[in-house]
Amino acid sequence: MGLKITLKPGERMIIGGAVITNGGHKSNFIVENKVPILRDKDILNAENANSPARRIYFTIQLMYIDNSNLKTHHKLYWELVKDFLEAAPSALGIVDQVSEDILQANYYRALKNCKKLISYEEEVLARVQ
Amino acid sequence: MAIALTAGMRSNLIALQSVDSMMQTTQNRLSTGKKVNSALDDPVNFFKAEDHYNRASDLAAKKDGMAEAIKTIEAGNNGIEKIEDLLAQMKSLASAAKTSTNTTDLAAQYDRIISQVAFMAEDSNYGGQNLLNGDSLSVEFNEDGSNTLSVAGFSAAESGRIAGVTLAAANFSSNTSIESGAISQIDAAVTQLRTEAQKLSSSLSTIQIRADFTSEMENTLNTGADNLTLADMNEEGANMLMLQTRQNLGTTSLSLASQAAQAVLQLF
Repeated sequence: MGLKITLKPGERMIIGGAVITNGGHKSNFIVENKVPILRDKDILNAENANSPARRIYFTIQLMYIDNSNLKTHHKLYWELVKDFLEAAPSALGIVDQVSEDILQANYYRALKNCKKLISYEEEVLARVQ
Repeated sequence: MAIALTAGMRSNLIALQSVDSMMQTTQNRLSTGKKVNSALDDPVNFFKAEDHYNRASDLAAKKDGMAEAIKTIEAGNNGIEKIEDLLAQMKSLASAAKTSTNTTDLAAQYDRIISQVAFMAEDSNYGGQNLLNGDSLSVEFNEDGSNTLSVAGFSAAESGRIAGVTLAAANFSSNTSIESGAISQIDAAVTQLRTEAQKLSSSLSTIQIRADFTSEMENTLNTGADNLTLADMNEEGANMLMLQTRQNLGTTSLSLASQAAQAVLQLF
């Protein structure tokens, strides 16, 4: 089984805690066992985590790649989520979906759903900017 | 005679009427504490809120299952601790026997403790399940049970074996027989027990983390559903902007995240 990955020349990704940069040619490979995988386009670095929803995304990333400190990351997650929902109660549906993914340890899906949260936040902010 | 209202009077009248109706609504809301009291007020938010409340109670049920599992594991851990205490007693009896003249008495005490260990193992059940008696536990983390954690029990004391290590009746006839018999057997049993205890602790910690997370989800849903009815689109925009500014200006707890993880993410 495993996950099939295709990297463009020079593309980077995180595989199970290692940061890998592809060489000069396109490469294909399969990751055969279950480890955290994050592609370049899905990685958010701390500098760019500059909005409430992006901070939540960042925290989920931490849960994904730093599984041994879940308690700390969970604590941070709930702090951020409470602030977020206080500001925008209408986001509860999306937030709950993300939380459910985290509960099931489906971090990759949680990240995808968190992207929806980021879009939603942009919509909300657009009303006052 | 008909009274004609001027435009000004008419608008005052309308204003008064609407204030009156708002007062009624407000009193109604004040008495129940919720902005949306029935589906008539705001159907979309009412049913969304209902959904969230229902989900919160589903989660509460899941959490109960996890709490039960935690208690069962704790019962097992307590049992292991008590068995280790008994083994420690046995070890001191065996050590004493090396230099004592009354080995018969010591041997009899030793054998009595072996049977106490068996009782201790049997006594470590919770809710009909005993992880020290080979029973296993399965904890569900989601509705359809596709995401579960299995906690395997083991046989802590069974037909003369402690955690699979044979513990023979006392043979205190010579120092060699004590060393190679009782003492080495006890050491092996303790090592094996500690390995099992370690596995149980690890499962306990996993379940505890998820139970806590589920608790938070439940609270968030209940509070969120209450607040859903207060949602005002424009207010939300202003609130979000304020939150963003506050977070960007404040010392952020993002930096509390573990070093290793940060090191990886900093490369991007």
